[in-house]
Amino acid sequence: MSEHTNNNESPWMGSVGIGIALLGISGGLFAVHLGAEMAHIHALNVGALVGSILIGFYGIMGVIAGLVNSSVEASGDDHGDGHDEHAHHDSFSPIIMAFGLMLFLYGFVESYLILMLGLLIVFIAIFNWWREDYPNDGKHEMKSLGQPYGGMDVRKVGIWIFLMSECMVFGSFFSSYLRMRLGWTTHWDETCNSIGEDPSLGVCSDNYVIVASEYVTHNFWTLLPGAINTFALILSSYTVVLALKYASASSYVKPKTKFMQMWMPDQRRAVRNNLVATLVLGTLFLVLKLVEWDHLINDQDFTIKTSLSASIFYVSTGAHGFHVFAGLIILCFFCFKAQNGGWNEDNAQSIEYFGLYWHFVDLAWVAIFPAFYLY
Amino acid sequence: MGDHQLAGWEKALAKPFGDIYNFNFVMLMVFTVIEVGAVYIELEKYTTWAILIGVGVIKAFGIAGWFMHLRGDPFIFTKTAVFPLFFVALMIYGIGLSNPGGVDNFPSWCLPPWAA
Repeated sequence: MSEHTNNNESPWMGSVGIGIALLGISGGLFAVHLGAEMAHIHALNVGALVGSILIGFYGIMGVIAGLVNSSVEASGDDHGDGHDEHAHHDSFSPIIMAFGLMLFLYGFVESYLILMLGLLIVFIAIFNWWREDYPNDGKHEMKSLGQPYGGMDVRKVGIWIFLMSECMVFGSFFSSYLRMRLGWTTHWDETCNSIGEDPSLGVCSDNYVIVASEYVTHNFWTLLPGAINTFALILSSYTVVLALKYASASSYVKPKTKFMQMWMPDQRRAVRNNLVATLVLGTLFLVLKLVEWDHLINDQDFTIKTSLSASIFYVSTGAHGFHVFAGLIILCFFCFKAQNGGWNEDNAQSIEYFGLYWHFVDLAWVAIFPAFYLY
Repeated sequence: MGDHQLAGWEKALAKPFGDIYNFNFVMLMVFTVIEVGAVYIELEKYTTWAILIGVGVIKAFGIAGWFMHLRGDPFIFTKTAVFPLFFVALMIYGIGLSNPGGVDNFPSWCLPPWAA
């Protein structure tokens, strides 16, 4: 591991400390949630609850990361020669996870007991995979042997193939939506009093369909969460790029502006702060998304069962939100690894591959936002 | 990353911003403002659509080209990225545009028991 990235004397204690602090913040947010619930402030109530759950989750991950790393330091892979020769990619965890997923999906049609068992196995496999990878410096990047990807990093090829399949998933949502939308009479086709109270507007025709965008673009405040989320995702894509830029640099070059120097005082903190910023922005995205859903469901009675329009809206935006959540779990691991100075030019490609996934999520939002929120 | 060869026009765009990623970030932010603004200020229907589609294409190019660095990576990754778009286009045509019953008019044998 490069010297410049490992300038924290007791990094694992830092992770535990941060984890405990996050649990404290989570507790505080939960108190805000309870207060807001009693005061019947819907948006704050939902926002604080979601924030509390996510930050609590990060806190638990931080404590586990610190404890796992402390035991790794004691035993370690270092055979006294100063470097980790035996990076272990020969893990059973993926196949255990696949088995758990199989049970999880089978449980959907068979029984909740099997579903929960599958979920438990998946989580055990993820944690074991994480534990195995935590001290790994990632120097042993496997190369593809066959054509047309000969000589390229296997993981990079893998993530692109995965993204191709993701294109198909979101493509199916869009084609379904397009099919239905072309047959509907919506606010684009006629001006009527569907959700407003303007008496000058006429009555909507019988086949009029209310789509989510009609509620979302109703006024500035209903449009605001979606707009903030769009900026948050773009900003988070940029912070991932910055994290990769600093992690993969062979030497640290100070940024030019004072603000950026404060934000990224050294290489380790440059990587960590940018990853943490991505985590915070992703969390903000999910919190605002659920605040928005809460508004649609409780204030507008626009639930998944209301209509086909509502159904496709919740399935598409929900699938996207799930992708963001999955990215946050990975980011959580990356942040604590960065806190421990675990990223350097030898293993920064993992941030690049995660970045590809995260940018894809951003790319999907580029299509979802105008199609479902604005149009 | 960051050391990929940039074309002349990319270098010209990147120069005032330090590097191409800074430029891309600013460009994406500006186009997002245009996107939200186009809906908020209520333009004519087809003008809004044209702006939304145009902005979407530009943003997609910025994210895929520079943030996902397809512009600097070997061309096989661009081919990989474009490959599913053919099937997505086929799906949008086959389901979205040419088959009126493809989504909401399934025969009963094709529906789950609770919806049949």
